[in-house]
Amino acid sequence: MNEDGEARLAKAAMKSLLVSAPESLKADLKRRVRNRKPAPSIWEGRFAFGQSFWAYGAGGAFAAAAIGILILRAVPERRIATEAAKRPARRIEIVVPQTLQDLWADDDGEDNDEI
Amino acid sequence: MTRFKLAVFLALTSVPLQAKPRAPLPDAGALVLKALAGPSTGYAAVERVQVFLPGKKPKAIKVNITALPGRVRREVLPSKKKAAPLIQVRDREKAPAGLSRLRALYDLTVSTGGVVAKRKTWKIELRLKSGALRRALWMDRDSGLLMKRETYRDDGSLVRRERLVQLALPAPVDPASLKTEASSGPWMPDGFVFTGENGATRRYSNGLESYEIRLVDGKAAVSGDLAEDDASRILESASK
Repeated sequence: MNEDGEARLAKAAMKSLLVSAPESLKADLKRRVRNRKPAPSIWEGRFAFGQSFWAYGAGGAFAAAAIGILILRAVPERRIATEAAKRPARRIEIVVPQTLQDLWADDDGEDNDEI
Repeated sequence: MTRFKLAVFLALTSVPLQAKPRAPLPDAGALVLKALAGPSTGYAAVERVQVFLPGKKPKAIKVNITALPGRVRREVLPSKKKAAPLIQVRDREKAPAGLSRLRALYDLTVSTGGVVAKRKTWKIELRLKSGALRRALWMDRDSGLLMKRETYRDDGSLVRRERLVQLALPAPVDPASLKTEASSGPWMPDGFVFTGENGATRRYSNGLESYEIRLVDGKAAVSGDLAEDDASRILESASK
């Protein structure tokens, strides 16, 4: 049997079911369809979430995570500074080498009075 | 031989006799002493310092120099506008001390040096006792000012060239611009600054070249991109 035949067979089966179904069931189904509310839009859903208790919880969790990240990032620097303060100064950088390198420019290498 | 040929022959042979006699070569030691002492008047100059690193493009800096007898101010102008200039004001070394150091390390020979910044010069070659040419100096014949200096590697290739490209001599110089602060630590070649230390090692750099001074068993040792005379002067000052 091809697909067209299967579709027609399914349609006939549905018709026979509707005919054989009790009137009370049909009426109940119709009532439910009428009373069904339309699905809320995505914006209404977001506003509803913003006004709910869970929104406060999510905001709090986000803030706590941000503070935690800041603290975790600050801790290694503080640890290094503490260790550096304990041991005698070994390495002192006074001039950033990049600054010295900026003094130099590409040159033609010629030996003349031009500049 | 015809009369004509004889006349031409005599004319040609007499040309060298008519030539102006060459100036006698001065003594190398006297020239170096004059150069180390510097001119007796103030002067202003622009110097170009070129560095030739193997396998890389030559690099250069421009230095504005103003000087009074005994003191020199060098202002390295940055190639980028954002960078700050490097200013060094230094007293000249006593000329006899500098000459004795050079004589201890090198053999000095004088020759005519051509023209640098429109001034006739004498050239002095500084050769190591092994015969290798380490430096060549060009000095102004009138004032004794060091006009140009080249430094070479052991294989004879050029490492560095410092050349005055503009010179006003004499020139009025404000003494206030040559005020210097007392500096601590060993002497540094022109353009070098202290960049940091690691334990007993102190590092110095000019942005392209660098050297280190290490303390080994209480004695200073220097290594890096330096000619022998500079290394010797650093060690002398470090031991004081």
